[in-house]
Amino acid sequence: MADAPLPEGARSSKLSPTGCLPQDLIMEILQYVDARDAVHWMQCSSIWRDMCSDNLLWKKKSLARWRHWADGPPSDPKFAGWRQLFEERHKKDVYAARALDGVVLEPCHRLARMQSIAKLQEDATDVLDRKLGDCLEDYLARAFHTERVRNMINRSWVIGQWLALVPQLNGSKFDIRPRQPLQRRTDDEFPLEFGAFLLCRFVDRNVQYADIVKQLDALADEAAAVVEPINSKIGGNVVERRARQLYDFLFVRKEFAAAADAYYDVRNSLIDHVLSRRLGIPISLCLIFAVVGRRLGIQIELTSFPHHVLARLVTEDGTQWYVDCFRRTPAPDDGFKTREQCLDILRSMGIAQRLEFLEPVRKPAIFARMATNILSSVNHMRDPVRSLNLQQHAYGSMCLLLVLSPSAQMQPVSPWRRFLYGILVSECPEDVWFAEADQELLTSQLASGADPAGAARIKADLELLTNEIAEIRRVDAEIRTPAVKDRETMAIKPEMKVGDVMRHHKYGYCGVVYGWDAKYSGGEEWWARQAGTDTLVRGRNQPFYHVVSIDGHHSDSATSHILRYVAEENMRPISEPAEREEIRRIIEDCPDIGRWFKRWDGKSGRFAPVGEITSMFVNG
Amino acid sequence: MPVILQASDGQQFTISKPVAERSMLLKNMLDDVGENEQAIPLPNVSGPILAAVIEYCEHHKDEAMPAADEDDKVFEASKKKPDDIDQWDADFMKQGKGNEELFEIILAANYLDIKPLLDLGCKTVANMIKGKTPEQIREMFNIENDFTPDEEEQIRRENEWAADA
Amino acid sequence: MAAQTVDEKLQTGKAEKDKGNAAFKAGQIPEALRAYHTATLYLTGLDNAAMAAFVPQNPLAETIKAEIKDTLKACYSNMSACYLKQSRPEKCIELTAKVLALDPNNAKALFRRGQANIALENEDAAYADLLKAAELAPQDKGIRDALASAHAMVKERAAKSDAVFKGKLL
Repeated sequence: MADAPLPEGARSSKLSPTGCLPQDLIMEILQYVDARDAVHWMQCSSIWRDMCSDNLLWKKKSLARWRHWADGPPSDPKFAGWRQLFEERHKKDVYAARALDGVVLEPCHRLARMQSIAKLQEDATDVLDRKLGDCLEDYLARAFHTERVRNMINRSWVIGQWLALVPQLNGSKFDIRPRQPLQRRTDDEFPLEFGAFLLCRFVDRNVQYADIVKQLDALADEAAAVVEPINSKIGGNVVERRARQLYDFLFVRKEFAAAADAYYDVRNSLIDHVLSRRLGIPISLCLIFAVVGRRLGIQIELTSFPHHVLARLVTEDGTQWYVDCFRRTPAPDDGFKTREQCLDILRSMGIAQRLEFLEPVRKPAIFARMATNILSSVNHMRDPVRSLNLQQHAYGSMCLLLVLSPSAQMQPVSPWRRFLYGILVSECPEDVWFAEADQELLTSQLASGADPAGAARIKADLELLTNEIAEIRRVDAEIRTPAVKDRETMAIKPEMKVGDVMRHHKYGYCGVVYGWDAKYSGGEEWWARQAGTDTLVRGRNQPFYHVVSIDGHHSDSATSHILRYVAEENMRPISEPAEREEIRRIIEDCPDIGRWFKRWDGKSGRFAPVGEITSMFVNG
Repeated sequence: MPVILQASDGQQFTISKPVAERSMLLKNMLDDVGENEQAIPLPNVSGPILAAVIEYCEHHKDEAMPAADEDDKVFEASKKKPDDIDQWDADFMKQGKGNEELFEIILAANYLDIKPLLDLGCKTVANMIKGKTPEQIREMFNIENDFTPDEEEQIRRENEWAADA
Repeated sequence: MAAQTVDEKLQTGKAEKDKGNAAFKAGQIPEALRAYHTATLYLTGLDNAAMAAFVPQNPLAETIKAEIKDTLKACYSNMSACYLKQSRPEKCIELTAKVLALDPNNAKALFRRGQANIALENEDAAYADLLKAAELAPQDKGIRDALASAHAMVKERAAKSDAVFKGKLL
């Protein structure tokens, strides 16, 4: 119970807390005081300045205010700078909030602003979460842009994590904050399951590493009951026996099976799906075998066996076993093969019996192979599962291949590059920072002259990339003044306004108008294609509408949209309030709708468009 | 069996056991010592203040006891918010209570270990200074400014960042 | 009745503490607890305006503060002994924590907390406390004995869990 310093000339009618209350109670009070007020109190006198600067007080305020920390809150109990930390973090918040407002409200420099927020990484997340709650005026637009920024932060975080495997890229632009390296892991802290997790996480930021670890730990716990202990007193090849018991547990008892039928389903490569569906391809099944085995003290590695990855373990007496985890039913054998059997298989496949196929491979090669598998899957998938974002999975895999290229021995990245940038330009131009990192990489590869044969290819790629980057940056910085379309001046006045909801007269799908042309302006080719199937009564001289139409409404996944160009005669405006509400709800389910509309305007019964659109269509 | 409390000025108060047990201090004592007509001396609380504290406990006697304080729970932003005071509590703190009574209630709540009342007192003080400038705070609590004009200017400048914190 | 001065309250507190000690010796634990509780009622909460009435330069203030602290410490310590006697280890731990807040290197309080933890089968916590207590008071046989039994409990538990978790390297 420390005694408080005594008051200076206190009169009893207006007592100062220091006159009556002990230090610890004053600290209690200060915990309820806002940062702003605490800072004012600090300016009252020197005693108050000291009390309000208390380190523990500011620690509590910091931890209460911010849930997300890019580099983790300081864990050293003696850390003496919580007040400075609070101030720094607060300034970051103000910066991020202002930048986010800019992104939402101004079409110019959007990507530059997004990049500045993304540089804060997790530190910006509290702001991104917070703003969403109170805003009403443009909630749709805000949700859309916030989501974009959060996904961008997520992707840049994942890329940054991969850099742990590629020391050659230290300090490169692939780290969105090169001056402060992202929390970098060491090789030991980068287990196989972490790499597998990152591949899933790139696309879905809700996948948590802790969940995957929990599932693997649970499997290991269950396995421990049926696998011999590591210090088993029973003689013979303990390692081999334990491995066989684990194999039996995973692939017979727990039924982790070969996805022989839908082999190219991308879910067979994604560890969260592999764990829940218990289906996988050879590499993912071997990975599960290896990571569960590690938890039981069995050292299992992966090989680069062609077409069909095998796991490998070495027993006490040096015998090598190659394990086929891709277990079909009925299983042709017990899955364990000797070295000679493997060489036989290679011979029968007509492949050179290179001994390196039987050697354990390092992590970068394993992950590169998993990424390549994902790309093959995406290319092959005939019936894509609605909830999966195949484009994004392909994108993520290609980004990984690019990042790993300096260290992994792989096929040249070049074929993927153009495909990757195709997706980048059309889907996520905000990742232009990644393209710039790649540009730097290519430039240094060219300069080092390390690959003279590939020099021409690298040069071509670099030129293409440079042009694309320049174009993205130019468009971002451009102040556009689009031509104004005023319905009042049109000879044929469009019946519907921007923001109106509609249904297609013939096909019945619903949508919302985000623009119109007074008459057909879609180009000859499209018109020619239409003429055969769908002759329009009113022909070209009728208003045509740009419509965001909803591509089927499914309860298990976010609604996706298709942009269409519809003739007025096929547009059915909605006058019935109940039907309008129904369509409004369907459209609001579409996560991208904030790209065009700020909010639903109940009074006028239509969606209120964002500024860029309003300035183009002055009277709706 | 009722509990008798005696304040520092000799004033005695008779209250029911549930009301007394709002104070953890009294609860612990009653658990150990059992029921008994002897008055419990509270030499560090005056009569008027004890009366106010009892009034609070009477009003809140049917509420659930607050859970044990988990001090290191990190993200509990909702815990330390001064705005969620209910109307009765707000009026209770205001009626005829100057700074002196306010601080004495805080001290009494601390002494008697009545966490909700302590929190209420602290929140009330926090609300008193909400949005006030340093001059106004000095005026309210009679704090003497012992900074030189330069020092004062320096602190003010160092802390400009908190204007919208 | 006028309120007592700090000095008077201190004297009353000490008197109650002595009453408590006498009751404890006579085996009347509830009576002892009552006296100790009463003592604490007099001695806590003195850090208010009453104390502030002391002029800062008064040297008595420091010595009185120290006496209050010592008396409180003795009360808490003896209360923890009472709770142990009553087989209420949780309360014992509560009170020893109060002693240690005032005096972190109080061997007796660490000893009692260790005993309470043994009763609650928290072997690790008991062992830690008793180890520290033994370091602070190497001569005390009671502490050494308690430390040995805590050590034995820890070893026994380790052997048991080895059997359960064997074969699992995480």
